[in-house]
Amino acid sequence: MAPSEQTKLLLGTLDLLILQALALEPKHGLGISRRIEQITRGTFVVKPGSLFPALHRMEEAGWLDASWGVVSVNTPAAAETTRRAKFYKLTPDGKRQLEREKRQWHRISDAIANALEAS
Amino acid sequence: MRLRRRIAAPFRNLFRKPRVERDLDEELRSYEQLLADEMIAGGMSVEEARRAARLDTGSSIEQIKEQVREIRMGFTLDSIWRDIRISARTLRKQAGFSLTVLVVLAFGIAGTTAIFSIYNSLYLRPLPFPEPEQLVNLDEKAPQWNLERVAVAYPDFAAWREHNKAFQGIAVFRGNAAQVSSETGAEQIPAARGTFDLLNVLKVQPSIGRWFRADEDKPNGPKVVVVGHGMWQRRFGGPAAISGQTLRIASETYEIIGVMPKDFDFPSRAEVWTALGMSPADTTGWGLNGVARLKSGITMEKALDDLTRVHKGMIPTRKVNEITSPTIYPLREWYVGQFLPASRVLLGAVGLVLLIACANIAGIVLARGSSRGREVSVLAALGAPRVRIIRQLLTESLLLGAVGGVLGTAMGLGGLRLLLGLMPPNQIPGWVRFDLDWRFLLFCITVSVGSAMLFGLWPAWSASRTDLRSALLDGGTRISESPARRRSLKVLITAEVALATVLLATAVLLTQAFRKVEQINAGFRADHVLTYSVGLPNQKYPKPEQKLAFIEELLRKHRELPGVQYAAATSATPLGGHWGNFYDVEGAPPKRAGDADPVILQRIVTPGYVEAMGMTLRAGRAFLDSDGRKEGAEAVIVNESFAKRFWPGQDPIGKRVRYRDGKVWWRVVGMIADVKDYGLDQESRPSVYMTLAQQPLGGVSVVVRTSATQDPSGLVNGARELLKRLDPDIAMARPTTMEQRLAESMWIRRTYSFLVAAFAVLALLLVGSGLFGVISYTVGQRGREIAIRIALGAEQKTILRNILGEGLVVAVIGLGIGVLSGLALARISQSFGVEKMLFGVDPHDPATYVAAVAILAAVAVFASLAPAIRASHTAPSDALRLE
Repeated sequence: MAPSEQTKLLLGTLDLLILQALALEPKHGLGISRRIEQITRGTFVVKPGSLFPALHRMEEAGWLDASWGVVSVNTPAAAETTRRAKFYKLTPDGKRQLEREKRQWHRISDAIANALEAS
Repeated sequence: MRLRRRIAAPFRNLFRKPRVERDLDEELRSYEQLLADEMIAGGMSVEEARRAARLDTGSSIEQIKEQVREIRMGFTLDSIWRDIRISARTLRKQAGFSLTVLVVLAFGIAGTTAIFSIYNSLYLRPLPFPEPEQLVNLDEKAPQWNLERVAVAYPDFAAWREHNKAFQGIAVFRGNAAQVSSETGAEQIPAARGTFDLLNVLKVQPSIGRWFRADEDKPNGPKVVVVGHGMWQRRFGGPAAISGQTLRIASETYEIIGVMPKDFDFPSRAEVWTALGMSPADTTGWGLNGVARLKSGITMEKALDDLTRVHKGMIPTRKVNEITSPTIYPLREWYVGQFLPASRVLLGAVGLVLLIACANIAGIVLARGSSRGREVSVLAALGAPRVRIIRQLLTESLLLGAVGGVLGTAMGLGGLRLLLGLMPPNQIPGWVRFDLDWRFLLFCITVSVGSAMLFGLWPAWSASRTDLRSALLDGGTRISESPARRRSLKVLITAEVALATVLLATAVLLTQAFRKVEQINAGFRADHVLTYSVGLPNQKYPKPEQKLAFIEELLRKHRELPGVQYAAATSATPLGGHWGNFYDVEGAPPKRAGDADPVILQRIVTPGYVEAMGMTLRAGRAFLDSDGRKEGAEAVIVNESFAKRFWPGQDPIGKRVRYRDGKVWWRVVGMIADVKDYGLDQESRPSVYMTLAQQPLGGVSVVVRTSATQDPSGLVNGARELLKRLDPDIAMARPTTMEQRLAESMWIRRTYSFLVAAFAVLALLLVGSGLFGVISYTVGQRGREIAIRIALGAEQKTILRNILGEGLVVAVIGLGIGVLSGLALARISQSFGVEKMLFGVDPHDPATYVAAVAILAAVAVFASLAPAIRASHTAPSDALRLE
């Protein structure tokens, strides 16, 4: 999908995707992007330019909690190294918001599906 | 952790921006690094991976940061705005509560800001000169002569200027009055004479023209003058250039060579400046003020050492420098040092009032919190985090604080303006401005926010801890009373009482001191006396006989005015200044070198002065017309201090004195009781009076005593006409009555004593209403319990006594703490420099504390009475009604 088309589609659903990506466990920014890529089967690749503003917005709104943690990586040169990364996790409010967005999405998609069938 | 972060979010975004920025930066770098790691794991080389990651992320880093910044700021502002709106709505709904708090807060802040404005204008704002901290006032002291400030002698100044190493520049000046003539007659205008380098020291330049040159600043120099901006506008229309305008001063024509800028005011209120025109050969006395600018890096101590070195180095040719020594004061101290102790006391007093007000408000908010408990618990139940609740309540306090602060500041400034309007003229230097500056604004904001925090934080914290379940189960409008809350209220009231005790004791002490000073015998009768001063121009009246003749004629004409009992003249009236001299006293105990050699106050008067001033003759007689008129008829009158000092236990009449190393001995013909020449709360000096005939002068004050039925100020116009008819070139200066002058001399003491007393009254009101509120609240809380007790047979009297007792216990504890604090303060009061304010009243004086305690106890009883009476009248049936 071309980047610009992707952006337009993303606008309304980025929040939902991020919340869903974090449903199982906390992740850092890159991890969230990769998870979204994974669960949408490659349809959406979220760039940092969209990702981080959204993450911070959702943190301010109280849906996400951020804290610094470590990631261990395997570099060819040495054994495991740890990197610092900022991890985001869902708050109880965030979980509720995820449910709300899911319901809303289903309503919308049902409505549009009906509309498309109508003609 | 989470809660704290949520409440802190807006503050963090506002105040910890660098940290937030760094955090974001690190997060983005971490993303970039992890991306690179991914690529490396996928087979790319480290270099390529880094470059690719940088391309992917790096290009948009700034944009991302900008967006995040905006998002966070948006949330913050939203949050704050929402809090404010909700708070405003809540406060409006509780109008009674809000108004009470606002009124109390406004009064507390009003006093604080007004007093701070005074303190700020006098002591914090820089003097209106470049680098004012370098400017100092130079003077000389002579403890042996009993003089702290002798003033500067020109020879000393010349040597200091030439040989010092510590100053960028030194200049001297002398304030006087100039008789300026115009078509409409003569005016006496405040003026000054200064050396040619005065402006260099001050680092100021005339706005038009120039100052004096060195060659103009010598005896018999050219007649040139510099005028002030006001005079330039008034008399000459304010043209932009000087073109030969002149000014007629003391019957001589002076050419105007310069105009000073608009805000220039040095020394205080001078409007015209002439060159000092003295030379080092002029060894006759000390009378100059010195001002100097320190070199950067030189302290006053070092400068003083340097100056003393120069000063004492003159001793071989100028022996008197053994007795005199130079002194250095910060320039500000010379101007307004006298007000410092009073300013500090006022600041302390008003600070106490503010604290009491805050305690009061905290109590109100606490008590209020209990009835809002249900509302708060509902909020909590609906999911509002405790954080939000605290922030909400805090915002309410801040809003109250802000509005109260604005109101209070307005009130304070209004009050200040009123106070300044009542101030007699020339009490404070002309450069003191009371307009608002950033310091004042900062202070007001700090005080408002600080007060809001003081009275808002604790109640907000405890209100947010309301137990949800018990709140809802209890039902009704009240929360189960918490003993913690009642204890807090009691603590607050106790604190209020303690603070008020200290303030009240201070007020009583100062009032006692004021009354003590007021009752001092001034040594003369101030009622029904008109006085003004005149100066005879030297050019027109060069010979002593001419001066004498003019003044005697002037006085003769005065006696023809209606209602005049006595008319006389004097070199200076009481409270009119110091003029000192040294005398040889025949028959006095011999003096050894190094003995105290007090300077003698000298007054030159006309016969009839003693009667006109209503002075008290203790021995001998007052002056006659013949005294001093010819050789052999010289006579002087001394005061009691003089006689006691030089002829202890003897009769002074008939003894003789003369000027130090003078030729002619003068007989003492009379002794008067001491006159408070320097102020009612000042010491008198040994004084000598002699007649004008013996020592003619060109500048005198005319003194006129009127009969009991004639108001002295009614004669001013008549006297002015007289003077004008005798010589239109001579102006009448500063006509006033002695009563006014006496009152003016007491103005500062009267003002600060009054203000502290007013603050004490305010504190009493606050404590009284606070106590009333707290007792009413506790009674309200225990209504059911009281009703049951009455139903069970308790007498009304017992209930009354119980409630009263509780109130009094709190009051007594507060009083105890207050008295102890007051005594502790009294012990260290020496370090505040308040001895002159207390004027001998002992700060440990038990009567004062007894009075303060009694007054406060009375207030406490009254405040507790009404709610106690109401409690005792609770009907037993209320036990069922009240839950």
